[in-house]
Amino acid sequence: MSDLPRPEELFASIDYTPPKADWMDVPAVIKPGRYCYAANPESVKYVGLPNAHKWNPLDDDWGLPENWQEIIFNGLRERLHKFRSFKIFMDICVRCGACADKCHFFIGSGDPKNMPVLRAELLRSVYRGEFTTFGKILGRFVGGRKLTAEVLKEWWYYFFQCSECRRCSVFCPYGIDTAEVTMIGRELLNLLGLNIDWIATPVANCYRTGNHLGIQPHALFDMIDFFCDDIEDITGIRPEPNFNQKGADILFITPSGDVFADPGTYTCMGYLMLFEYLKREYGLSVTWSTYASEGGNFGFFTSHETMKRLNSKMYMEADRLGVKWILGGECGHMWRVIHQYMDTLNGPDFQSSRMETPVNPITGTVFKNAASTKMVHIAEFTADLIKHGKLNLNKKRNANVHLTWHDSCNPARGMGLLDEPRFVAKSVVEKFTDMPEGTIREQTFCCGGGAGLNAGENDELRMMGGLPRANAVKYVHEKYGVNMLGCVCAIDRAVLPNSMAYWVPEVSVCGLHELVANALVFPGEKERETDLRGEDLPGEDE
Amino acid sequence: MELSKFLTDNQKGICAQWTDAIIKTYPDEGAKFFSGSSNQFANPVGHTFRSNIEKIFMTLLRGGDVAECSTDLDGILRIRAVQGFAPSVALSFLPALKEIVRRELAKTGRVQEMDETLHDWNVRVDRLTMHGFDLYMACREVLWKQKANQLYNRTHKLLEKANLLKDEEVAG
Repeated sequence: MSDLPRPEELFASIDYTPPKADWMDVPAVIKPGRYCYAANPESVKYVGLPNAHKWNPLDDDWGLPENWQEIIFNGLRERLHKFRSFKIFMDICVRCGACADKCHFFIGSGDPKNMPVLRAELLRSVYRGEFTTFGKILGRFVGGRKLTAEVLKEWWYYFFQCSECRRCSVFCPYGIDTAEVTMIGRELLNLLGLNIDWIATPVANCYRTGNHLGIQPHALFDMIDFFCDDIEDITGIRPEPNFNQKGADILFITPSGDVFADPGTYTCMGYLMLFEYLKREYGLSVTWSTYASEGGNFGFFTSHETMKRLNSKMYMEADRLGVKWILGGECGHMWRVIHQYMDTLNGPDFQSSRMETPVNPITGTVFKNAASTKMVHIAEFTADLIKHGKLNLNKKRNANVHLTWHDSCNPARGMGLLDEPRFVAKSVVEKFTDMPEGTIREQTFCCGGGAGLNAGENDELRMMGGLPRANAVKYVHEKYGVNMLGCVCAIDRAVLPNSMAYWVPEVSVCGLHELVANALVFPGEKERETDLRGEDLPGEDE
Repeated sequence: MELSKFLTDNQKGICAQWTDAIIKTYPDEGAKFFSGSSNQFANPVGHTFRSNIEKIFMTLLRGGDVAECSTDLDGILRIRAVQGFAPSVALSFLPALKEIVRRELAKTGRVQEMDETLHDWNVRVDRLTMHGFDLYMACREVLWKQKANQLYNRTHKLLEKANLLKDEEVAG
């Protein structure tokens, strides 16, 4: 037996030792599963963004224009001047490391360039090396470096491994928002036509047809009509939604993902049922739009200018229809755009004079928090209705659900929407258990697919990034029997089902208004046998 | 001295080295983080590695079947299967246990004396490695199934919208 080869001899050919070198000396190796395909040049061209060209991230030659460095330097200079916050973020980081271990991608992968401090340093080092006197003279000694093609590729690889969730910014003692560094990094890359297709094509679609998926008006109508058929089968009540109705009080805008992909479709059915209930009971006047048919804004992941252009359609449509205010669906980054950028993009001056500070016509509640944007989150709206006893709800219909709540990053950190969804959820389910502290509310973990990273081809990155969230779900599943993960974001509803199927297969994913609609009791409805998914309702005694 | 007593007496040191065999496959900063905080929510990867390694070792030590290690081994390999490692690297920590034990035993100068029992121990570690390979592949299969389903669903929806499916295919 002593003649047998030793284990380390047997495995001598396996190199499992990562490089031991300073981060600047470790070149980025672009790996399948961790990057998204390059943007279709037609999509880039459609919205008039520069340097549209065909390229492949795995090729050595990315087809950059000859003066690409000049373009980046000019772009960087312009943004340092234009965005005071960005200039400060470049200058004040003391590399204390408070953010280092807060990124879900770093927590899941251990890749140091996913530490927020280092991700920002990718750009900051070039700023130092090319724009500051000390950096120009002392170079690497003061953390500066030159912009090379390798550095540019590293930027691209890692700025598209940030979901802009802003968890790191919660822990920064200086308030540096690394997501904004990523945003500028992506803007600079867009100057060279280096977007990813999962962002560029939705942007072009949205600009052309009003939504990311490119659903045309008649198809949107058909899909919603199809949901109405299902609702009628389940409840005996057929919703009659309004489309493009001039003179309606409220315009409703939600992400197109809710219309297209399960389980968001059940959330969409939930909206339809809620509005039908409110119309019948209280005469609420809400209209959908086939033009402003997208709450999401992938312009946010491209450039400030693109974000502004896509955002404007919601207010142009509100003006065209003459509504008083806008009710927004369960979307994630739409709310960060609305809440944090709207006023300096398309502020009150851009809005129709007919728009008013939103007032719930049923309860009289004035949403003063939305005085500037004229836009109310549907979780706030429904919470207000429930608080005033305006909905007839039967929790027992959700008796088979033991819910936990995933605070979607943008509504939670971007606008402080923490308690309203929980209030609504607890009003419609019997069993609710929060995940542990440090994984929810302001410190919530990202699903792993935000900021345009939900492409099929970078699934491995998403699984790594989704690990911290799934780990907390697993804990409440094993300890308390949680079997449903609720959220108010269409990207979450697209990403989390696969994440759960891999990490915690016993847990499903749903939107808030799916649960509301299951519990909602219409006067004169038939006795329901199934929930909105067509699954048997739990017995009353369960 | 029996091997099992030796393993029991040296359990802490062996488990630390075995965990390190996983950790050292990550870049320095990542390895430092995984070795640091024991908070299971702030550092789920490091926590899983440490706690599951100890449980697996205990199961092997008490002579349990390698199948009894499934849950704990799956916890580790489910993470390794999505971190971009080649399969050989992802699983490299499993056979490393043989070398770790042999090295520790060599310090006592009693390797020859326990050659027979050491061989039995190594066979158990080999079985664990093969079992780990099954679990690792099952994780990868889930990922590939997700990709396949995504393509299937997309195509199915397009065909359905174009009215190119028979009724029973629509239902399916």
